[in-house]
Amino acid sequence: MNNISKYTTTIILAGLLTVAGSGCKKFLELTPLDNRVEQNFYKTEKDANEALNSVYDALQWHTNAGGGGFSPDPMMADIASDDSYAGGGSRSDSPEMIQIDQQKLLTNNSLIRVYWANHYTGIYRANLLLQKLPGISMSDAAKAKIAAECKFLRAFFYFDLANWFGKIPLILAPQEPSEYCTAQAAPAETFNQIAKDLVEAIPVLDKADLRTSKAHATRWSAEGLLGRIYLFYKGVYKAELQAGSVAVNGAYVLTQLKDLIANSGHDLLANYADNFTKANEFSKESVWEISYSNDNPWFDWNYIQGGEGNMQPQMQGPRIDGDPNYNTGWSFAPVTQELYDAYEANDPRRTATIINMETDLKGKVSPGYQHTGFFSKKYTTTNEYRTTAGQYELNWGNNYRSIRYSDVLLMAAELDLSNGGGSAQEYLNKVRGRVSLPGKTVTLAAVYQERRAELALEGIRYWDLLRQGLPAASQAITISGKRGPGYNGDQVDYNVTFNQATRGLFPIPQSERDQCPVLKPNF
Amino acid sequence: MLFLLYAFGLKAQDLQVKGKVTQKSDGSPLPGVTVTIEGGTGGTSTGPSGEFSLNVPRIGTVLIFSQIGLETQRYTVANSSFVNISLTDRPTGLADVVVIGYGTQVRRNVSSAISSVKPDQITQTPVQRVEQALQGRVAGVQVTNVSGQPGDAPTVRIRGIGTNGDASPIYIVDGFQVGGIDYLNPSDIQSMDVLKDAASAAIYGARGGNGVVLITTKSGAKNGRTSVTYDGYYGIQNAWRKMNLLDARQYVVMMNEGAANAGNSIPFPDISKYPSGTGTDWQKALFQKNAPMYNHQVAVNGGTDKNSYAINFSLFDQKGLVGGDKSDFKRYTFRANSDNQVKSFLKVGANVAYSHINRTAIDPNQEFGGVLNNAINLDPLTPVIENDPARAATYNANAVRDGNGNLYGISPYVAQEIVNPLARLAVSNGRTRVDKLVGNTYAELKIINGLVLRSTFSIDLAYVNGNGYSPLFFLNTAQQNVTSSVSKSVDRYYTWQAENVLNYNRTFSKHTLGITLGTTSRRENAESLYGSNSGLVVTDPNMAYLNLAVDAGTAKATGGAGQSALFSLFARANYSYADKYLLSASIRRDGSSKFGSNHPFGYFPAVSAGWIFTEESFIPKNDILTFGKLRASWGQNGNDRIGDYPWAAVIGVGRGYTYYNGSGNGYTSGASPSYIANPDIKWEASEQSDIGLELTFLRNMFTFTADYYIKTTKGWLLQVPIPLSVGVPAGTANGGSVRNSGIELALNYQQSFGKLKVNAGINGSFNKNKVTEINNAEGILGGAGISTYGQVERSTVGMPFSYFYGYQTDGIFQNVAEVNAYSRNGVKIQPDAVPGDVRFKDLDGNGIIDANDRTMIGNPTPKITGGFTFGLSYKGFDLNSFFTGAFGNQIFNGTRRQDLNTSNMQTLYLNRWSGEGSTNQYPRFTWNDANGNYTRISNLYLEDGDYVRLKTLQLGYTLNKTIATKLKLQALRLYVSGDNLITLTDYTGFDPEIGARSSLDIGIDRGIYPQARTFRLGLSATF
Repeated sequence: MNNISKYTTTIILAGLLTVAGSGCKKFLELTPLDNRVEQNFYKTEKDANEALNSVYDALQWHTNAGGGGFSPDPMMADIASDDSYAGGGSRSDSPEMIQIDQQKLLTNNSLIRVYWANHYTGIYRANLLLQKLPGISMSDAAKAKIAAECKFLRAFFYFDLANWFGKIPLILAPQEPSEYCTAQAAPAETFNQIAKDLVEAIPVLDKADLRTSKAHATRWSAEGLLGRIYLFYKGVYKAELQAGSVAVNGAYVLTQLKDLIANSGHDLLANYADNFTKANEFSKESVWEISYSNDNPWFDWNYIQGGEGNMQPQMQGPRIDGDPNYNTGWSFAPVTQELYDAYEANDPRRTATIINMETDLKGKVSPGYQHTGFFSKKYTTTNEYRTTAGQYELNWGNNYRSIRYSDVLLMAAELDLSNGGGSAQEYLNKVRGRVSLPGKTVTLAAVYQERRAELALEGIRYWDLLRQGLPAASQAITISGKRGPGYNGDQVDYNVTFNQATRGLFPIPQSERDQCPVLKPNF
Repeated sequence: MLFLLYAFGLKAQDLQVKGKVTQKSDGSPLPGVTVTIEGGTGGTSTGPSGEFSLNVPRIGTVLIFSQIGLETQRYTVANSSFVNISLTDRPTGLADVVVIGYGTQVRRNVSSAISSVKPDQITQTPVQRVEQALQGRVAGVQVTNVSGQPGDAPTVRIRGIGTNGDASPIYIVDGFQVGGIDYLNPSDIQSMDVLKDAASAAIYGARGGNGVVLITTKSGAKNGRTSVTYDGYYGIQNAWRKMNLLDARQYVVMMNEGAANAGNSIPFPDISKYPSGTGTDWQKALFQKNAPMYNHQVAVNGGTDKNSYAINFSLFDQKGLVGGDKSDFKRYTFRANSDNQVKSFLKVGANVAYSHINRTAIDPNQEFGGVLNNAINLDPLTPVIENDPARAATYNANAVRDGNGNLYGISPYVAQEIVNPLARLAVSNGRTRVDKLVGNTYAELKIINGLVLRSTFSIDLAYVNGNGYSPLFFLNTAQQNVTSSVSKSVDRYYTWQAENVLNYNRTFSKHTLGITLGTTSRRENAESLYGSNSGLVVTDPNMAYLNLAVDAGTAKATGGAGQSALFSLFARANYSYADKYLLSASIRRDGSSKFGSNHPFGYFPAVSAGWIFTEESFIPKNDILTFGKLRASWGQNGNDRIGDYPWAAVIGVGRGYTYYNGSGNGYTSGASPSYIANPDIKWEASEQSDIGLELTFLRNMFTFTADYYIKTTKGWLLQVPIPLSVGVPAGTANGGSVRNSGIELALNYQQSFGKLKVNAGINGSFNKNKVTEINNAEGILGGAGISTYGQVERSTVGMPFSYFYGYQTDGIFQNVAEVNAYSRNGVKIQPDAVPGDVRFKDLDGNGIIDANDRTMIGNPTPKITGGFTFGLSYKGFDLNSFFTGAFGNQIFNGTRRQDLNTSNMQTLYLNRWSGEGSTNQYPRFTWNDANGNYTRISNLYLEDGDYVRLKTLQLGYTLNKTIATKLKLQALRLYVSGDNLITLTDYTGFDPEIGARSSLDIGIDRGIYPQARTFRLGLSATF
């Protein structure tokens, strides 16, 4: 062999050995280029805010859909109540929504599984940020504020879960594998924790309206939510709440609501119907509101929850073509004749709440399943929300008005009646006065009637019925043989029987029980 | 003059030719060889010592020597001297060189299971993708076209499905694993060798678990001659079948019946308006007639034993059977290979291939809005073009028009995703362009005799450019686009690999030793960029650029990157003694950046042995069994296709919220972990044992190969389900295993009868697949679903991978008494049923039909796959035929959207129950399917998927050499070819070849893009 070959061989072999030796381990140690990993995140205030955004993101899933199902909470609750049917294009459009309507829920219903999963995702994100906060370098005040928002959001998620499922696992920190499959907590434990989160959040959260807070939860949001939770718990479970050392009873909650009424600056809008227009998002009437938009135009049908759109308008919009005001939706949750008939004469809230096909629609409507001729007007496919970017169906920007000031007034009236505050009549009349209805003597029944008219199709009716007791709920929800003029299918399709045995609850998802035998049926 | 007389004289008295015939390989005399006179009568055969004598008419007479098992030889009589003829054995392939990983071996000495495909087989069918050349050719390799769409990758499975992830083999081109094989011009291939067992593939360690396909491209000739070859063909494609769908009359009758059965009013009271045989034939409107395909290529090949080169250019274009330009695959390839013996001890060379692919595509098997699904489901009453001015006036402003400005019809009957397929095609504008450069350079250094060091550096650089454009359209109320948008994406993939391999080969007396040592360093990088915007100000798709999209605030850009690295050491020893006993062992150590920190390295050992028993003295040399080899192997492999960072808890972004900021655009991104970290993650491991037998007999007239294997794949990567209440998905983890076992048989036959040569081959694979572990609480791996009815396939322990899962039907209720009688403890099992509805089996016997009554109702994976070839040649003519088939599988016919009452249907639905005793198979048709006749997934949906298909029939003519020479050509061949001419199947959908959309979505027909029946005219000329 001559020198050239020896030289070449040496170079090649040397290169080979170099790579084989010390360089090898480094060569193989690659970390993601376009993603951060948990180890290098949760360091700065910016990280903390990003993490907080992810908790708010899960909030949108309350009325968003995705993850394998289409399950806006307010729509499901209205369908379960006597205000809406299941609807959809045909009987086979969503058999699972029909299960909710007919109160015949199977444990493998994917809507409730998705609902369960979405809410626990929000809880995980809140728990994780609460766990990481102490290690993040930022001011204590900023930390406290973020912690308070996390607690508010966690309370919101847990309330959604507890009202639908009753007994649920109460998870307050990210879990290690050994902790998966937590046994269910008693409702009292869950609701007390919800109250505790809110009681702790109230003094820290901003005293601001939602525009000032830029849609972050405010002190007033938390006070309003506490009122809603207390009334539901008191009604269904007939007990008071205990938030740590604070006794959360009727008087305590009324104090909070009165604080809201007196100090928040929130008030009723002059015109009831204005509440659901784009111009009045985060209005003075809105105490707590979930934000949607088409700011992040979305196309992905397989990951709907990645977008910012609200699916509820698309789901319950009329199946219409060629209408100057409305775009085509999927005609879920058609409104019952019962709700239409529930309004007092001259109550303008009926036309503000219900699209009456005969008078309101000009395009061609394709009647869907359980067609009644009525659709929700509050969350629907109006032109002003029609998307200019992204997939048409996935980008409705209708904000969900979660707690309106009128609701706060009526909650306060209800609590005032039993706690002798003397303001109940004033609160009720204020709500009625806004829609030019004459005053009416305040009673519990009057408040409930007012709530139905004022808050219809906002996902509240069902809970109001359940807290009046199962017989009352059953009487209201069970429908047999009633037929409105717009109905066009078989009578049997419009009959509903409330199932007292399940107490109005969703069953624990089958897949979850298969994973965790420790989970027991909740009814 | 004298010469003439002389010749004349000879004729008169005949010329006697004497000679001896021997076997070329060992010089032994050949008795019984037939000797005939071409074009004449008479002949003889050789005696015991191989000698013969024969009188022939004249000088110039041609004698033909033939015997079974030997190549026929011609001899032109020149004079009367003694003739020595030696006949060669027919080629057995035993002397062929087989490419094994990091080296070559003669087939005779291979002790593991490797199958080869020859170049003429590769180019015989019009394959636009290399994988298709494997279909039906190689036992143990199942290739199923996923669709007939140009450019769609078929499903390739070597010895069954081994994983829930990507179960495709890896492709190694000239020693370099490439990402995607569609860039390669099939004509560039010199050889294709499939490593099927673990022992052969284990040298590829963590990547070889699903088999390895080794491809070697053509190198230059070393004979000093330069040749220029043109190959080309032009073909036309047509649908080989249309589905039988209802015409207008049948449709309205069925709809009336469906409505009536549901208690609804009848939608078409006057059926006389819809005469029989009328109505829109959407398939006819959709399928292109004579869709063209063509291929042109020019190859220049030349060189000496020192420097040689091969240069090749090709252009291939195939327009789709559906959609024409909207479903088009066009590829340009350019390749230059060169080898240079620089010094006696040093050889260097380079292979460089550039490809450009320009592709448009539609979704080929899609129930939500696929054009084929639309063509099946759209009612026959809607016209292709709306001709009624009154109705046209009511159409939306964005309704789609054809090239002549006519409005495409919009159905008033069928809604949701079912729209006019031509309108949908008209607004589909996806286009992908790929520029890919694959190259390698090598230096081969002979250090001492027998010891060679080869260093190779390879790159694979690809730019993939995606283009999307969605115009304003209105297909129906549910399918409309109110904002035009345009999107562009650029993905750059760059891989480099440095490899050093030391080979030592030495023979000492009866010992032959081969040792291979090597290292591989490999690095893969990917980067992507995507942008989109709304409000395109033009409507010309060719001007769909972001600069012309002007909507404010809707522009979007994303981009990312990924990387991975592999570092490996490997070693192999091949040893044979007396060409009789063969032994091979190898080991590879792979380190990968993809593996978790707890398992950075994997070790993959293998061993194989062979015994050529016909070399043993106790088997005397004979003409019956000429060669026999028994071999056995064992080895372990891995599959590292587990994503770039499966071990990390990646922080997912984009999880944002729209905060209020007074002016809109309040969206703010958020972040949280996408899943839980798993430092334990590693490759999937497969272990395989193989026993093989190779025989050639009757003087090589037949060759036979048989293999039996057992392959177990463990440690699939699963996202193990954890309770949803945890709130974050589990990371990927290893869990789950499957066992594939099977038999592969191949038999080839070749024989000459004078000038008539015959060859035939048959191969078959019988594979059994059983899932042995699924590492989650439920022991279930969910599979694909259909439409709105949920899961159709799943995998469970003890069952085949991804089987069809659903209810078992038990005939049709013929009358009320039968409905009532189907009860348990006096309670009706199907309370919603009425006569004409399906009786479902209550398998768990609990008195109700519920989810627990579902069971395995079929298997989408064939039990047997195979191929059959038959060829003849006579003088210049050759005829080749090639059949493939699959047996023992079912197809899920999900072509009808059962969730939409008014969708059209196949005519077999006319066999529906129409009264007591009418049928026990098909239920009544009703719009209100309360009994769940079709909403429940059941065996009603399944059809047998067995098929046999005449894949290719080709007739060629090669010009006589003398004439060719006169035309200044070295060779000229013309051929006509038909593809997919005959398909025998009971399946009623478009095509029984339905591959896997993914590993967990197999054999579900949602309206598949069928294979084309093609006629081609081709020419090959060498100058």
